[in-house]
Amino acid sequence: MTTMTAMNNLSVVQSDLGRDCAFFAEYASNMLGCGATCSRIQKNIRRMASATGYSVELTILPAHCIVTLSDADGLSYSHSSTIADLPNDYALNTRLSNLSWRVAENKVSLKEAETEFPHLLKGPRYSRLTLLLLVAAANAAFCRIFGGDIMATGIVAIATLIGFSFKILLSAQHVNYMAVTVASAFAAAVVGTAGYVFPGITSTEDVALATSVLFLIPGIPYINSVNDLLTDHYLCAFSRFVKATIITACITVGLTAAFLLMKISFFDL
Amino acid sequence: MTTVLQILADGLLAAVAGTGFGAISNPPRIALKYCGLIAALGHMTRYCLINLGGVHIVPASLSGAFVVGLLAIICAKRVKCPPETFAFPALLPMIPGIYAYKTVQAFLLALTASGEEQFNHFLYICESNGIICSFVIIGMVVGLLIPIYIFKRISFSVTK
Repeated sequence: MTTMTAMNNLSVVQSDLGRDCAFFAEYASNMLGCGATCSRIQKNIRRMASATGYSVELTILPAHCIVTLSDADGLSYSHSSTIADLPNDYALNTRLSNLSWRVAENKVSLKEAETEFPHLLKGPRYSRLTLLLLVAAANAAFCRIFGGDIMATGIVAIATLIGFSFKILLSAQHVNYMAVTVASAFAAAVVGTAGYVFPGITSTEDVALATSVLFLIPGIPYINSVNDLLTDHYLCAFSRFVKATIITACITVGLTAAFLLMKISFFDL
Repeated sequence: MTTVLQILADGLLAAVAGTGFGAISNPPRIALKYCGLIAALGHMTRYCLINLGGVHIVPASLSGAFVVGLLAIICAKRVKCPPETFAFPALLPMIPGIYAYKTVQAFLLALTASGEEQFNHFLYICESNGIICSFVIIGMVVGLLIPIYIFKRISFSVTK
């Protein structure tokens, strides 16, 4: 009987440990997916674990993360989770970081945090129209910064509106991100060649064409990658850099396809 | 007077770029205006150093990013968001997009070059732009991380 009770207690402890470990793994996976830096994820998880009497180790791989959770009795449990496929989301990063502090300060228990966690993942995002207009204005401003004239700025604004619309529509259909980038870069670059197709409308046609696809450059992943590199997370830094480089290569493919379609030689540039 | 207007125009354009590109990363609504403000001040710092001080783009970008990092910590404390929320989008207008574009363009031109001389010429353009592009990005991130890690306690506890 005593053995049975001990075994039951052990299985309860193991099930709690397993459930908490799965939560930490999901937490890390979503933080990685939304573009948080490795150092922040590690700090958040350690903060929650130490407040609840656990010790935790986090292994971040290119497509997965593994969390190993140990309790005070030396029982340990590992859980592997696929990194969530999310767009960059700093609002989610903020909400999840805040959750880690509330757990650390015992304002919510780990069990309550686990219940709250799925609701935190569904935060508001900017409307597609707002995003479209803001990005078009941003890329047009970029063109002006690089010395584009008023007509070039207008061309870039229209190119971005069209290219970014492609990106929004194709992403909503869950098309592969590489195909989305190629199609969006192609659409934006076709419009961006307006200065070459209609000579004389702008004197900075090269700036217009170069800037038309810059809204697709994965700036945040590049910055995150260098950040991870400088904080000793080399594997994650490399995987983020490779993904950002693939996106940049896809932009080049779209751009080249637009050159071919519009019969523009590289030597004209 | 013209110089002051040029600096302000540069800041305004950087603010629009920082806000627009920042919105893609879905920062909390209250944080978005600070992204624009920080982007403007960081970019104006770099603009002044390059155009008035004759500083090379790499140290100028590092200095601009340092300003961005410091301001991001101040704003992070005020809005209770991680400093990256402001700092990373605010850095985006400083990303050397034209250098990156010229690197790729010269690489493609080198692929289609007919002779050794032409190939070496395009490879030189590709490498020189690529090196500047890489070092500007590294300089930017280093400049940004210095204040974030100097004020580590604030940086990682603002979301309390």
